[in-house]
Amino acid sequence: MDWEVDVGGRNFLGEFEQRVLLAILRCGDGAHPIEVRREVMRATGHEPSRGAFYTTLDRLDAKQLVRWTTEAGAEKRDGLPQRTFVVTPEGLRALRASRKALLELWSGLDGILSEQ
Amino acid sequence: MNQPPRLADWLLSRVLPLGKRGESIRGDLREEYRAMCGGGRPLGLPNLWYWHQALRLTLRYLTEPSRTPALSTPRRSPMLHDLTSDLRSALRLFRRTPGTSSLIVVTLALAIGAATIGFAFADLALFRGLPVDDPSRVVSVFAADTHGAQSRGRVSGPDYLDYRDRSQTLERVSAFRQGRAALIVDGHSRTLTVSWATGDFFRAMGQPAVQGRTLANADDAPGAPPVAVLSHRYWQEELAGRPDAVGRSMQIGRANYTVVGVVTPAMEVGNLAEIDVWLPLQITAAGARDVRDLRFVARLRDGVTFASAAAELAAIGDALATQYPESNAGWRVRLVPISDLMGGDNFWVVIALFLFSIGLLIAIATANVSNLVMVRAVARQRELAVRAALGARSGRLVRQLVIEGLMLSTVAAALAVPAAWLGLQVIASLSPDPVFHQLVIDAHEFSFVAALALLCPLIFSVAPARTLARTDMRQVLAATGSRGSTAPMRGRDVLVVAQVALAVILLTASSLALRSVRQVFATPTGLDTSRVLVFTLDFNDAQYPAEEQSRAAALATREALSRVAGVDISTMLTALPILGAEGIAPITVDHDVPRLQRLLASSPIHARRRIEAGRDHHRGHRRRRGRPGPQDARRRLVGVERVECRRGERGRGEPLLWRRQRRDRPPPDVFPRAGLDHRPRCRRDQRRGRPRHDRGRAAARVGLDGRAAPARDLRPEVTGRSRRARERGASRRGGHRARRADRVSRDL
Repeated sequence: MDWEVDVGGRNFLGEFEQRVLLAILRCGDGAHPIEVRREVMRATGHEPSRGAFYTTLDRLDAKQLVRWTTEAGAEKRDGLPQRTFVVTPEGLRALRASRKALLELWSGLDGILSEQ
Repeated sequence: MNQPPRLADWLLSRVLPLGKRGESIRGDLREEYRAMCGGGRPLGLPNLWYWHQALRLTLRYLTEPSRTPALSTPRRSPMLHDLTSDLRSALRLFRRTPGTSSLIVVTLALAIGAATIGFAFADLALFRGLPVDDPSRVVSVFAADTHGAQSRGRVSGPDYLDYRDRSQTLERVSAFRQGRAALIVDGHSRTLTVSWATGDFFRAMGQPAVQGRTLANADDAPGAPPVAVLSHRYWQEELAGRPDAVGRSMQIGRANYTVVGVVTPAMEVGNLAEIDVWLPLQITAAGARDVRDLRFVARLRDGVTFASAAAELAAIGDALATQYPESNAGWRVRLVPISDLMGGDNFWVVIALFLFSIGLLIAIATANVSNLVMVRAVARQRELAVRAALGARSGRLVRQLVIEGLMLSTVAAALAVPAAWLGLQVIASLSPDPVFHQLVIDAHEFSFVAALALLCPLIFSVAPARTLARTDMRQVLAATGSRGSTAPMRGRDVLVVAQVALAVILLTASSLALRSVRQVFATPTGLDTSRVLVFTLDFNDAQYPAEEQSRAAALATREALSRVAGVDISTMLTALPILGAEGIAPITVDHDVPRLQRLLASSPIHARRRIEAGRDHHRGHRRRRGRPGPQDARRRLVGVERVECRRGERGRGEPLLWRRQRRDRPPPDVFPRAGLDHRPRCRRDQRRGRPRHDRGRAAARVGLDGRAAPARDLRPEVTGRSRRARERGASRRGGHRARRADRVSRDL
């Protein structure tokens, strides 16, 4: 199952999970869910549904690839807490492994996949 | 600051994970919602957006299996979790044993459906009550004779006026009576069921109009312009609910009435449902006090108790008896709460028996189902033993059995409602009686079905649960095979015995009831109804305002009948024997008091009917006492007949008065038209093309399109529905033949 943290010593990331992890990294210290989702939307040109986005965050949290802290919400949130996400070292390792695997797969295919 | 839709937010709070995880998601949504509101967009759009997001998140989180059980607090309570688990187990069991489960469901559905039909009857009689606002303040006043023969007699017009004027405890005192009148449309007439009511009647009942107004006090004053109020049913069926019905003119009899309103459909209960039109009732003090034909309702004044009103009315009644001894001696007045009017004094016995039979039916069904459930529980003993070995307590296992039963009964209840509805439709189509058309399935019946659906599983799960509790699970687990032990099942034997006993009781009671009905129909009545044709005419006040007119019409009709070949005797009377008589009055026989006393001592009930002099033998009656009076004796007793059956005399091989019949003439094949037109009274008879025998009735009625039928082949009752159907049919055929009367005039 995809929420197993480590299967055979390697982490497996789905495409959307990679996008969310990368967006968190790009947001830096202000990786609130709204900003992270906006960053995913900006980079990919596609607006992910909130349901898919939040459940993906939960899944990454379950895999211990991200962790989050909360702070008291502002008035516009009616005092409801706000989460800030950071990528854990395991998350970074998973991203690197995924990148490496993808580059490995991409290599040697420039002749076929290069845009004319 | 704008608030998001509360219901959507509540939904999110229930669906999203507990704790800060869910709260932060809701916070994000609110932040974005407020950002949208701040953009100057209309508030409806952000709200719509919020609802959209809430529903999508709900769908996502409900369908997404929880992958982080350790990270979130369990949302459902252990109890709810167990219930869900039991329901899943019940569903699995349903799939695993579809035959047994379907049998249980069908059995329960049929039983609950049948019980619901029975309950609909009881509901109509007991719980729906009369169409009265605040029925605890409304009373009905009856005249009762001191001999006890008549406990719910009607009141005469002059007596009504006296009670109304003298009473200090009653208000909105009103009277009404029901009859028929001819509606004249384009030169053709059709018979309407009419109720004449005083102006206060609708205010006494507390029923408003849905269009226009109801009758008012000024409407029943002498010289008031004639107005009419339509019943809701008539308005819908005949005028298609047209709003311009108010203000239209209707010729009823010889007068033109202006329609001033349509009464609420809540009035259409019992025989009030038959009424087409309400007309004002004008009562004068000059009327006869011994003609008691008015029903009488009133409302208690504020602060007046029922007992004080009854005492006052009794005092007024005594004063009237003293003041008018000829007409009122021997009569007293009786006050009855209007809520007690449904049915008779002993109506509760009928309803109690009815409910008892429903209970028996349900008991048999649950015993049957209990047997099936027990068999299934025995087959599952090993499974249950394993669960017990794993730590399930006996209460937990019993609860599982009950929930499985609850699921089955719920499915059965869902099927029982349409089954009951279908049954009521079939009953209504088979019988034209209006009461069957008033049976409905509404909140009362739904509540009844729900109660049975909850009660039945508790009953039929008891025996399996007891068996389960007494079984030694170690033996079950140690036994080879997967069927568990084969220990003797004493509970099952008890169930079988109970089921058979209940079935025998119900079958015996049913057969006895059927036998009673057959005996009633087969009982000799002392009347020979063969070769007798009976029909009714209505020389009503509206069409024949003068007594001479109605009498002349009646005599002309009779003379025309007499000239028809094959007709032996034609005569007229006010009411058919046994089927009821109106106008109960004190009997005076030639001022011979000792003879009257002997007469009353010999039979507690005597009915008076006005019969043409010298023609009382036409129906096979033998005059027991009294003497024929002159033909024009209008309000004088012309004979006393005993309505009771003379069973003993028919057993000797010679029915009463058969020898008086002239058998040398065949019965008429063609009924004389004489301006009359008849059609079958009973749609059921017409549809099936076979006659219905009513041997126990004193007579039947002719109702044919120019054909005659033996009296015994036709139903004597005329119901509002069949009458209306007949009249509608006549209208479709042109209406030129549709004028007849249904009753012999009281004033013959």
